Amino acid sequence: MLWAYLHCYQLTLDTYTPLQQGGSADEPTVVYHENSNSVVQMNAAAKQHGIELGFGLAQTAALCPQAHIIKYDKDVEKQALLSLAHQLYPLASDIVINTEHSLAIRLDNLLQYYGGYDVLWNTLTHEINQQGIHYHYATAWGIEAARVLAKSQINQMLRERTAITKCLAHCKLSYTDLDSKALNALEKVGITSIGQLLTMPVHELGRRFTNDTIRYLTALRGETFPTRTLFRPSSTFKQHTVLPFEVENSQHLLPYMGKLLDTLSHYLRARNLTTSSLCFEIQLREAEQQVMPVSAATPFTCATAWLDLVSLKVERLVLQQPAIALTLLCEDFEPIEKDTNDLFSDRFTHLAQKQLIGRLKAKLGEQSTQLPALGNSHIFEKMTVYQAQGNGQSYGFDAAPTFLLDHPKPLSVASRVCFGPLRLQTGWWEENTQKQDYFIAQTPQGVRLLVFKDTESKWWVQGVYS
Amino acid sequence: MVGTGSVQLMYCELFCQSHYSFLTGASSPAELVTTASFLGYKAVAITDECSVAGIVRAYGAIKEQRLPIKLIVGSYFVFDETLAFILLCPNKAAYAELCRIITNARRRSEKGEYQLAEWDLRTLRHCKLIWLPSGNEEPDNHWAQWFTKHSNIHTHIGAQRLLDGHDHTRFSTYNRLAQQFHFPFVACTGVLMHHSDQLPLQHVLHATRVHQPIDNLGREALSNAERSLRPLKKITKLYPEKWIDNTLALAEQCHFSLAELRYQYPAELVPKGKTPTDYLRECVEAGIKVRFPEGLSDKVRGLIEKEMRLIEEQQYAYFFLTLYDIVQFAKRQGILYQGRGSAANSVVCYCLEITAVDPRQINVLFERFISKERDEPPDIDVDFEHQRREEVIQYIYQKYGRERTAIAATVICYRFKSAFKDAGKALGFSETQLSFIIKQINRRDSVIPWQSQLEHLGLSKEDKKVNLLIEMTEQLLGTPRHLSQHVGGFVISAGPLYELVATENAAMPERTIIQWDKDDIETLGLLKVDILALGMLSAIRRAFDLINAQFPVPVNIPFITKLGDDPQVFDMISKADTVGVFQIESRAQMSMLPRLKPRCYYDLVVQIAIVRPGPIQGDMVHPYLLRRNGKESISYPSEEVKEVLSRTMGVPIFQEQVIQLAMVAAGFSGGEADQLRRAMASWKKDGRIFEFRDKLIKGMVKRGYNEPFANNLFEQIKGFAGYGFPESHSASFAVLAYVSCWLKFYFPVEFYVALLNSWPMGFYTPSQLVQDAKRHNICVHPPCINRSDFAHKVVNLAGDKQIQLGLTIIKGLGETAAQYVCSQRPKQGYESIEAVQKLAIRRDEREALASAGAFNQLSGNRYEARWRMMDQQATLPLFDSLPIENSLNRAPNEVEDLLEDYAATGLCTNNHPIALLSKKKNLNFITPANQLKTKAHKSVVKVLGCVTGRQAPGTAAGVTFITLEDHTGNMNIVVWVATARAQQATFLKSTLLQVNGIIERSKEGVIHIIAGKLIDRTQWLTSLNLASRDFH
Repeated sequence: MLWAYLHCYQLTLDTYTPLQQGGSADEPTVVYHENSNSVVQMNAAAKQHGIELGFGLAQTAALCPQAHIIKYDKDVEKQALLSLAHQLYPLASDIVINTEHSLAIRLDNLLQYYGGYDVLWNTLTHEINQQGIHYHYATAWGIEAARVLAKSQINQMLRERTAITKCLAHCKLSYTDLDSKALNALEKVGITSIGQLLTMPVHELGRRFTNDTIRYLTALRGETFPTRTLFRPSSTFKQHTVLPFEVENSQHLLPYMGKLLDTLSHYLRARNLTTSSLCFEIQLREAEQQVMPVSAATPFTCATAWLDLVSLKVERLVLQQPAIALTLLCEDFEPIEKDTNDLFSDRFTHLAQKQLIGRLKAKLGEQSTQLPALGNSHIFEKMTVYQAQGNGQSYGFDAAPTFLLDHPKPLSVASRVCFGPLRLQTGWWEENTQKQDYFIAQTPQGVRLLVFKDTESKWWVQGVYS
Repeated sequence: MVGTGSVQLMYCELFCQSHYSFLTGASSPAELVTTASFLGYKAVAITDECSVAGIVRAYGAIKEQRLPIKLIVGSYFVFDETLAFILLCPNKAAYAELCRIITNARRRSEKGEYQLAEWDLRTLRHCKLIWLPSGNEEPDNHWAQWFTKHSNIHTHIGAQRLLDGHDHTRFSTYNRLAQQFHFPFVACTGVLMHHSDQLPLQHVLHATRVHQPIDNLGREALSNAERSLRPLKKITKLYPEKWIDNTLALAEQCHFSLAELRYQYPAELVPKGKTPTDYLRECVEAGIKVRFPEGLSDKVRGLIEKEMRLIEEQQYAYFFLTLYDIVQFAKRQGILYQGRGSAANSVVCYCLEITAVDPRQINVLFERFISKERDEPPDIDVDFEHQRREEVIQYIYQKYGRERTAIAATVICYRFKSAFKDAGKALGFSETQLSFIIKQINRRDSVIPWQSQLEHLGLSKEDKKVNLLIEMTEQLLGTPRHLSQHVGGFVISAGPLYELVATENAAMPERTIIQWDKDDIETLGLLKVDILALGMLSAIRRAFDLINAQFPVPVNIPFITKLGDDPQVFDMISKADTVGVFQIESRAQMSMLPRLKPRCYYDLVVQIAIVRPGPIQGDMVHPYLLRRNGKESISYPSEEVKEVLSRTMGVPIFQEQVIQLAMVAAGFSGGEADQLRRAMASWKKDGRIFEFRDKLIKGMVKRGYNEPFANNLFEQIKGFAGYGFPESHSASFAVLAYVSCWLKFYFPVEFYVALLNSWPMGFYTPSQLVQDAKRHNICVHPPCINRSDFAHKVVNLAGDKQIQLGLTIIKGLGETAAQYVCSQRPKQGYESIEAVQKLAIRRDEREALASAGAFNQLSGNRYEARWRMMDQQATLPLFDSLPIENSLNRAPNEVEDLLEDYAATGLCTNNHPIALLSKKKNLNFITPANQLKTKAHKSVVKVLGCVTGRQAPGTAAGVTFITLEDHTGNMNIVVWVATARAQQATFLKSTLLQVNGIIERSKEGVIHIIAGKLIDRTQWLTSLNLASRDFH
């Protein structure tokens, strides 16, 4: 067997690098792991400032106050790695996702398709380089040995057993997957390299270490091959793309959405599937992600048809914060049947009612059918909210008007104050500080109005009660 | 419903929460009573939630400013979501009842929480209850019926009108209750702020309490500022006249004042039939026989009589007797202790054995410290051995019981970092951003204030939120955050403490704290006993034990002080050979010692107090040194000033001198001087000290002092504030400092052993102490399975006293196992590793012994020993007879040995990284520490050492001091801020550092190296695990 191991040592940084090109490429950037308070990845500019891996935030900040800090997120790396695995899957069948930032590919069983290791390796590395991912690599008889060599930054295609053994002997023990207890015990007796360890008689090690450790060591020597779960592309579609720069205008998302829809279209056609619903997750800079579900009354496969619907939806989309990444999810598929005309035609023969609603919703947004409800704020503008599902909570608050006027109107009918004053003095942290006394007045016709008096003692109507 | 208003407006606010209702109230008790008085309220009730923590502050403010307002003591409680009420205290019995309820409710819960039981309500007999209906009909009816049934509870209904849109619902409830039940109504606001301007602060506090940004609070937040103290005119518009009158009627029934609280000491201390003064005299007379076996001189007798008179007049006899009882216990248990503080250095305390300082030797007069005019309570702190203080605390608990004993509280207030963080979080800034900014802000930058530094960190002042962040941070500063436990201030009373003050659980299990801090205790004239812990006392006691085991004449503190000032000891001190001794061991102290050259006890008193931020910031060190060396003449603007300052050559060095100066030069009364003292202690918190500026300067000018002198004095006072060190404490510390120096000089081996056995304590690590011992030509042996005990010990080898490190130094070896290894050791010692392998101790502990080199006597090397200890089969009897083979065949080299020593014990007795390096590398260009004295002043040197400390004192204007250690000694490196900035990476990162710099040698021989180039040599010993102790 021959396995190649890719240790992607700066996956987070690689994921965000396109983003930086929008700003300055020379900006010192570090990836910071919060739990361990340490820098885990950094670019060359950061290194020039004297920052080293393992530094805490304070030390990093002291050395380079302007450093751009990216928070390490295991899921981001995992996502990036999965995406890489998806890209490699058409090229290699046996892929093992080993940790959140490394994967292994079995090479020997592919030889017959590629004709030689060099061609195979070139094909694989070409695909990886396309993704702009930095990695250390090595090959060995098993995943364990290849992993140690890759972490030791051998960066060579080794095929001969003697060459592998020789390289392995020089590697530090700290690159192995031995647990910290075993590592510490070995260090305390002066064993620090794999060479030293592998020369020890197995029975002597067996008297001193756990079975797990011994099992690992035999795998490292290539004497046993632990079972591994191979990567299988998921049965649902999920494609993630990091935007090259922060996008504030939702219209600018469309090209990237189009690209994702293209991939989806390929995915669907390859499987003879179609779908009537998909969902975009828009990752924002600091806030929670924004979700944009899109549904069609009839299933489509064609990317342009979907883009048509998506662009209607995007017209209404207001980004709460600049977007940094996009994910397209599609989980519900239907097989293409003979009466599904979408495969050959993008034309619709008729628009059913639900299609109209679908388009209206897409055009006007999910909020097009709404019911008023009580919002969680003292400020009247935020007190009455409209919700699509009509599930607004009742706060038992009788001063909330049913309809709020966009602009106050002068009170033109003689009315009687029946409630108040309600003094609002809040929102000091926002642009418009509220300070006003409100009253509920009743007109002779019995209409109840939310009114206030301005500094010139003029009365204004702000809202109407049902 | 609405009152028409009358000519004579009368109103009492019966529901006020101060900021002692933590993260709810937005004003201090003093602000509340002052504003209420200004608005013309007749009375104000401070009703913090399940707490009486704020009442003393309110009481103090009223008393201090002579406000024409009545203070009502009360508390607000939330029973559950259906019932909230206020309890007010009409009389002392009601106050005791309130304290009991708070104590019970608090004691049932975790720290900071409380839980009322219905039983608490049923037992109410004296308190007045104001019920705040919830507005929900069903529970309100239930509770109305419940209160009707329990007629022993004097119930009123508290009616609130808050203009928040719910008044309509509230008033409907009131009307309904008024028709169905017959409780009188009182108007109340539920004040959370003294002024409506405090609303933003209240919102920030609220947001902090619920861990949400203000934006998310929604309708939970106050919608307006109506919960502030409102003008009377407005009150009359809001409430029916009857309800307002009722507040007055209720207030009139409340005549309890905190002045009524009489604190009583535990009576059991005094035998029946004797007065406390008689008994104290009896104890003192008995003490005289012990302390003055040769008889009393007239002078000392006169002093004792004078002190006794003062004690009787001020009724302090119980206080002295309480301390006497505690120290007698410590004495019986052989726990070393030392009293310090304003009254501790009196002859009476000497006779009572509270202090071991012979007043004749130190010539410090009691009356200097205790002053009737200043009306301060006597201040005696007693330090006990740090590892045995718990025994003393347990004795106090056992003797007086938990009902009668509690620890004083400390009010933890917002400081810059916490204020900035909480304000920022409330305003919606991200936590990561706030943490980053906090780390970047240099609070010591005297040129650019932190507010302006924000601009450089990307927070533009044009952004409204940034301005709000600054404003809110400033407002939060000094606001109480929660109650914590005082380090050792005990309050002991005759009866249950809840009759005096409410108590609550502390974070530490089985500890209770009262809800008042030391200032409150002082305001009410209660006395607290400070039981503190001091590591040096443990070390000194251990050293005495070691010495006394060798000689027939017992050595103890009185023995050493009676010998008088020893010139040889002072020679050692003047050379700054003071590693490990008490107080004068820090880098700053050590660089001052050769300049000050202390020659007598009082010089040490000054030395201890002068190297402090107070005198340094007040710019007093330099003039003192000049005058001491006769380079500057001493002049006094008046005789009174001379009297105060003559003992310190005209420079105020002690806190007492500053207070005395305010009295004699600016005409402060005793009470005012006391306020000044308190303001000095808390000026960082509240800046109250500036209130005294005008009075001080005007007072001095009026008395004929010129204005620059007066301004200068104020600056000095400011410098002292928060950092001033009292002479009374310095005097006691100086005794311990001298004793430790005496021990170091005459019994160095015992001294180091005692220090190492008392660690953790002091300034230096065991490694640094061992290095220092070796520099004093003391042989230190590493831990050994056959020679070491559990603790470190003195061994006598060929007439030479040496240190044998104990097994306690080995990391990962528990005390039980270490003791077991020692107890099982055959007389001739363990003969083989296998003998230890068979002991019933854990495998990892056996391995720790091996790695520490404890088997070196039995085995070839530590690697081999550990390899054998790791063998699990060898411990099984079945494999006993199998031959032992060494399959490892590895031996550590010198570097590996050193690394293992550091890893296993934190020190190395026979090698030093620099010594090792010098063998392997050509380090001829490097000057070792012990050769620096041969180099000329201003010459260029290159030094190399392990960084053992980085200190950036706030007083040193951006300068950082680095301590480098090589195999020959320590070196002090001065790094100017520009040098540090230019070579930041090296400056911050290096473990092993080469400094190319210029020698600066003072006339007294103090050597500093002014750093020029810093070179990180860490890669020379990359894996050397030497911890650097950072202080920045």
